[in-house]
Amino acid sequence: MAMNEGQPRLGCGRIIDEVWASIDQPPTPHERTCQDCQSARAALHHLEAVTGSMRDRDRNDPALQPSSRVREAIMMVARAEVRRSRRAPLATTPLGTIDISKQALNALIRFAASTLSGVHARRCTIASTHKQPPPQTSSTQPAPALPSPVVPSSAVPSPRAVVDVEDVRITLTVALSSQVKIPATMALLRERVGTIVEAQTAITMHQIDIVVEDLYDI
Amino acid sequence: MTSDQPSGKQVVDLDTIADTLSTTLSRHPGVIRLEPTMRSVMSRWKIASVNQLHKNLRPNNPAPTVATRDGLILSLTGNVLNLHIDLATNISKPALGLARETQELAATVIQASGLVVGHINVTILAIEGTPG
Repeated sequence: MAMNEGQPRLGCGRIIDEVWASIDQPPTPHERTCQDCQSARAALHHLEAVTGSMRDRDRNDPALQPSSRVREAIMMVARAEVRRSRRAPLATTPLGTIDISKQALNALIRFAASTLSGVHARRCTIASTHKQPPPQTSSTQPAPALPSPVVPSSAVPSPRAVVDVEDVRITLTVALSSQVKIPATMALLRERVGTIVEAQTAITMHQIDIVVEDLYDI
Repeated sequence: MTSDQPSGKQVVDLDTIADTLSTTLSRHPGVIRLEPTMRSVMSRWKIASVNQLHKNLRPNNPAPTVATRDGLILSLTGNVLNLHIDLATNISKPALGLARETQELAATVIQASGLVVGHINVTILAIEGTPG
């Protein structure tokens, strides 16, 4: 009650917030007979109608629409976000988690393949069992008792599919020079991809399938 | 009469810490850039609008508890600062090691600002460039 002290009250003693709290419900027995509450309800209904109409007008007001530059900036970030949506957790340190986007991992694999002469990497797909995102703190070390951060709703990460780094299987499509020996190059390619990915991310590839899609320099 | 007891109150300028983190991390060898994401862009706009509104309506409003920069989201709870970093790294340095370095660097900056380090989570969004 102390929190409501100082707020203006209706003639019947209620505060306007109490009337507003039930404005979308039928009037209570008290409100059906109380002139003050009936006036307050009518005024609040009118206020809601006015603000609703202003909101609708703003929605269609050309002056309030984002410029094409702003819209393009949002779309550019959004498109990049979609490509990066899946992540692989790499490590949990005492300070927090480290993960990598699937897109970054994909680019790394194609880069590793392209370091071999006579190999042109084309497409790469990463498959793994998907699991829920890991907890925010280490499982091997007790988490410090921290209060939950106050973050706006837009800043809260949405649940996303996570790549299981213990079961990463890739399929790499390549074009090879006709000058190279395919079996030897395949062995070298597997080794190169595995080495570079492990050096960069500590992920050990479970399976590396390679499809020779084309030959060039024929 | 004055008290010898230090005041527990602390003024935190989250924007200054965000700027310092942004500059320090961007300049760290191997970090190509702090990547803007939809989350950080939208948060920045929302926070800027809300802060401006509060500044106009309530000039004595307490300091904001969330700040964002490209690739950074800082959230303050009490005196504990939690941080999310989105990175683009250079392939000349191992990405995982670099992510650990950025965590430690960020923790140093946070501690130097007088705050307690909460979680520092890092996402590697891109690995770019050619080996040096």
